[in-house]
Formats: sequence, structure tokens, C-alpha cells
Amino acid sequence: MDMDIRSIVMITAAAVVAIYILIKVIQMYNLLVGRENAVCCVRSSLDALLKKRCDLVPNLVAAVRTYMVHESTLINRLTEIRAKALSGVLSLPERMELDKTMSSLMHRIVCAVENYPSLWASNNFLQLQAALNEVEEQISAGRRALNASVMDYNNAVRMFPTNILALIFNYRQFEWYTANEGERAVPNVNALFRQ
Amino acid sequence: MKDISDFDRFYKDEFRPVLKRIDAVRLRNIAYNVLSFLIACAVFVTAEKALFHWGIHVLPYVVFWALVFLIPIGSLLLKRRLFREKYGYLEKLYAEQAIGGLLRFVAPPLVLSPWENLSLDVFRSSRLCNDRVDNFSGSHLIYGRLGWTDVWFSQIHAQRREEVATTDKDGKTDIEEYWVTVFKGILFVADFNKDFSSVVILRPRKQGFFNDIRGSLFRNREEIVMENPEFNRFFTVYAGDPIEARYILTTTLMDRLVELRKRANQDIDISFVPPYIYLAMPYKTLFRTPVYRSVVNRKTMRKYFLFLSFFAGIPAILDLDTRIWSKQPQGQRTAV
Repeated sequence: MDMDIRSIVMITAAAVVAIYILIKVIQMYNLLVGRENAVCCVRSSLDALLKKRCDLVPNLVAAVRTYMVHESTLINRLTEIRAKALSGVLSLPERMELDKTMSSLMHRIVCAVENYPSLWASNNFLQLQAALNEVEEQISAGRRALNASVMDYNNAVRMFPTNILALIFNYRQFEWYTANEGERAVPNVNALFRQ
Repeated sequence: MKDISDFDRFYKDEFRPVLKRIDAVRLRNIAYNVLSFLIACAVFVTAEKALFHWGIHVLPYVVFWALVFLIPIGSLLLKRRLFREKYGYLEKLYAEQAIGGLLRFVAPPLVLSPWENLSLDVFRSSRLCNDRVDNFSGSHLIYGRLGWTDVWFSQIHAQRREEVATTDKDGKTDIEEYWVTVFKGILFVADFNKDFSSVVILRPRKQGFFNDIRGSLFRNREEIVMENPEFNRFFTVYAGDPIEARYILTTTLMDRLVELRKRANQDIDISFVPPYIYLAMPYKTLFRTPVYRSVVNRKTMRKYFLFLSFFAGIPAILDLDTRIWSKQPQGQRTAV
């Protein structure tokens, strides 16, 4: 009888521990799923912003094409990149790369506009530039949000004990959104003024 | 923006004579008050003596002494009523010439409306207070356009009524009401320079070891951790949309908000509710008309100068005048 009570206590304790572990495992799994979903959600919002910028490209091209004859290569390249970005068959790293290229091209075109005072003073162009500034800043916010959610997710994938579940359920780390070398370089203001 | 040395020059050359004129009115009020009190006492004592002399003992001894106290008190209350208008005049003078003059020196485009305040609707739309508000008052509404940015700020006092029921030995229940301050301080509203659609709220972060641990364990679902550690030390960000929160709180704006928080040297609640930015700072009542103290008080005016400069400087500190995004300002730009 005495033995029975002890075994009942042991079994109950083991059951409580097992239930606790099970709850923890479910919580950890849900945490991984939640953070992965957060990354996907931010990524799709960022995609929407990139699409918004793509929609501004034809306006930019139309506004500058007649003035900027010498920059036709830049403009054509931008149109190509836009078409590629809208094709919708790209992986995440490819999309990131395309986004960086498009940012850099648009930035170069807007900088080049300063050589065309009549275009620079046009009201349409100023409005377009304001819209571009806005969407660029939204994209920048989107990148920061993506990196924050990727950090949360990657921490869960790499940190103990969630890393065990990540290994079992094959959760892989997401790639960070980084600036390209050109964007990271410190601009040489003197050289810009001498141009 | 003017600094303290500009204020010292302004005070010495222009402002002190204005304050002296207001102080002369205040001294005259006090003289009227004392004089009328003395006259009331003298009239009563003389009347009583005369009645006593003629043998009219209409007033029993107790009533006599009661009146000795009651009449001066009554005359004081009456005088307060009478002088209310005079103090009203002094208040008007003080608000328009002292505070208004200081405001015109600090930020000429701004206008002071001493007996108005931001409404309860504005306070509610700031989303900074979820409490019930049963009594709402305020004063000293200051508004106008600084550069491209429209601003409004005023002192406000929001209170909630509470009731407590007490039952005595006979089973009789008494309900006693009392007022709890929900918020007392300055509410500042400015037109934000970007278009946005969701609400972002910044709460002062509670410092301390246990708060840090609690924060790291039980992070609120809507809480967003920003990339700037110094900013995170001062503020906790709540937002439904992490991208829009970061669109509003750019790295530059975060630095600027940290600078603003350091300048204020006290907790600030901030919210972004389309299309405005709201700031709420607890503060004790300001701009009270001095009745028994001199109006010519450099220390007080210096304090008011710093206060007005701080709030008028917010658009510059937060760079709200930069309009390079698609939200374009309406109307005319004013010189700051």
C-alpha cells in the first residue's frame, strides 16, 4: 500500500513534468512559427513598397527622358530593372540585389537632374521627387523592420533551447538585408562639388 | 531661437518697464483692499458705539462679538467679490502684457489666448490617456505657425471622479466623492511633416533593474524595439505596424527625440496620430498672476522664457519644418 502511494506520487510528478515540458515545447514551436510569420509579413509589406517604387519609375522616366539625353543608358537600365522586378519569379536574394541596384540607379538619375535647371525647377519633377523621397524612406523603414524581425527570428533559431526545435523542424536562418559596398562608402563631397 | 543672454538684454531694456507698470496696478489693488477693510471696520465700530451711547441695547453681548468678527469677514468676502474684477483686470494685464510680451519676444508668430485651452476631444484623440475624464479644464492656449508647422499647446488638467461608500453603525450609507488627477501639465500638438495612417505611441520607459527584467520577459505584443539603444533607454514604442513606426521614427528623429527628452529633463509621453504629433508633459500650474508678490521678478520670467522657448523650439528640434515628402504644407510660411 505504502509502495502504491509512492508510485502514484512519482507517476503524478512525472506526468506534471511531462505536461510542463510539452507546454514549453508547444510554446517554443509557436514562437518559431510566430517569428517566421512576422518576417514573412514584414517582407510582404516591403515587397508592396518596392512595387510602389516600381510604379513611380515610368513617371520618372517620362519626366526626365526628353531632357537627359546623355543619361539614356542609365534610364534604359532602370527600365530593364523595373521589368525584371515586376516579373515576379525572383528569389529573396535576387530581389534584394535588384532593390539595391534600383535604389542606386534612381539616386544617380535624381543627382544628374541637377545638371538640368529647367527640369529641376519643374513642378511635376518636384512632386515626383517628393513622392520618391517618401517611398525611399518607407523602403528604408521596411528594411529596418525586416532586419529587426529577422534578428528576432534568427535569435530563436540559434539560441538554446529553441535551436533544438529549429533543427528538428528544419527552420533555417534568414538572410540579413545589407547595404551594398557602394552605399556603404563615405561620399566624397569635395569630388562631387568639383564635378 | 533666442538664448538666455538675449532674454537678459530684453528684460533689462524693454520688459522690466512693462512689468513695473503691471506691478503698480497690483499695488494699487492691495491698497484699495486694505483701505476698504479698514473703512468697513471703522463704520461698524462707530455705529455700535453710537447705538450704545443712545442707550439702544439692541445687540446682546454675544451677538455683538459675533458681529465684530462676522462683519470684517463679510466685508472681506464682499471686497473679494468687488475686487474680483480688479484682479481680473490685473490677470488680463499680466497675461496680455507680461506673458504675451514674453511670447512675442520668444516666437512672434505665436498667439496667446489666456482663457482658452486645448479641448477634451484633442486630449482624447492624442490616445495618451485611456482613463475616464469627468472634469477637464485648462488655460493659456498658445497657437500659431512656426515656419510650415502649425502648433498648439496649453495647460490642461484632467480629473476623474471617484466615490467611496461608508456605512455607519446604524447601517446608513454615505457616499463621499473625491477627484483624482488623470493628467496635469502641458499638451503640445503639432502638424507632422509626413503622411501616415497608423497610431504610434511612445511611453517613457521605466528605469531600473526589475523593470528591465520584466520588460525582457513579458514584452507587450505591440511593443517595438527600435535600433537606437539610447532611444530605447528613454522610450517604449507601441505600434500596430512596425514599418510605419520606423517610417515615422527615422534614425534621425529618434536622435532628436532623445535630445528633446534630455532638454526637458523629465518624462514625456509622445504619440503620432494622423496627421499630428502630440506631446504630454506633466507640469505644475504656470503663468499664475502674482497677487501678493512682485510682478517684477526676473527669476520667474526667466523660467517662463525657458518654458516658452522649449515648446516653441520643438518643431526645430524635431525638424518638423522639413517638407521633402509628398505631404505639402498649406498656406503661408511664417518667419521663425
